[in-house]
Amino acid sequence: MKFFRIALSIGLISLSSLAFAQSTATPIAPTEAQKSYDILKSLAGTWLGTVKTDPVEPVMDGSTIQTTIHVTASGNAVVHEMKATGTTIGDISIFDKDEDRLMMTHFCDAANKPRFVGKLSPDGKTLEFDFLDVAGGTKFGYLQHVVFTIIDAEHHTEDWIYIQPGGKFIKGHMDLRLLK
Amino acid sequence: MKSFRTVLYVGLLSLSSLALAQSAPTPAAPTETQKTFKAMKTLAGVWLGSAKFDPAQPGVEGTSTQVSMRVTSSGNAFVHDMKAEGAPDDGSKMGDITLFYLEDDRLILIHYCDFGNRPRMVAKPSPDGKKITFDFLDVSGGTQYGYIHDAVFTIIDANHHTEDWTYFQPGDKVIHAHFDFQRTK
Repeated sequence: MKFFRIALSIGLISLSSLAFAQSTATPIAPTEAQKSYDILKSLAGTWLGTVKTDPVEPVMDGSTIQTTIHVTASGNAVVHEMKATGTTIGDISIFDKDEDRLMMTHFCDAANKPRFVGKLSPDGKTLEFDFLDVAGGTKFGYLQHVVFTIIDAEHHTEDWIYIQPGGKFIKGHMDLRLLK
Repeated sequence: MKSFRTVLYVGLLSLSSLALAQSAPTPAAPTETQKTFKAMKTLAGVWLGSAKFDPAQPGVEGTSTQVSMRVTSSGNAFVHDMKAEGAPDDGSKMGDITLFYLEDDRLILIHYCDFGNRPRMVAKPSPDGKKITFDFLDVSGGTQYGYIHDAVFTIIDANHHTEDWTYFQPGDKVIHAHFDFQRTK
């Protein structure tokens, strides 16, 4: 909590200043997880786009999706909220670093909570999240794989692969443009 | 994802309708945990209040605080966003986020802390639905700056609630924060 942090900073400030002064000027190279996380943070904003499904699902194919991504907790977490436009229907995912892994936790409206570990492509354009585990019931299926592809600062895509009961896959491809 | 779930509904609709028709009409009584989660959800809205600390923390005592709470994921998660009043919404410098959800008939709180860790807490049964106490379960991530250990939400009425958060500093010194919130919308 910020307030505790402020209180704590008062006590730590002289110590950290001293430590900083004593440290060398050489910056430490960011880890892969940190690079991935920084790329994800660069997506902060409100995005609008359409969804295509594979196999084609007439109910959702071509529907409009709004995604809001924001940084919180002094940069320690990234919040991804997706909803169908004009509705309050949506769900939330949180990204954070845990022991130098980029983690994604999806709080699904299927009443479960799958977790994923992110990895960055060599060109730094694609963030792929591999399934780690799932908590909660899976009788309605669960989200199994997620890929973010950065096209440019105002354009990215998201691919979400969902496993239905019985093991059938549905892939949703979202093409998103930055609104603000 | 709602969209996937919507698709799934189409496939499940006939099956679930059949199952519903065959089942007894009496709905299952909600568990104590579900009742507690429902009580938490009544806090959805925007709240403004101030913080008091024990021991007193000069410089932050009385800080004006805004909390926004909302239901998401078709009712399966509840989001608590806290920030200093007037702080930018980008959240990069101020604020943190806490989620509440049900897991194995436990109401879990997970706090994404600006200390870079994630403590989890579990709710005790709340017979009156007014005082909801979250006990420490575990913490992931580094704890060199300490961690939030427990929390209590007290619902005074529809427009007034309090939150008590206990923070363990390194060395296990304890700071207690009491927030008194009034609903703004």
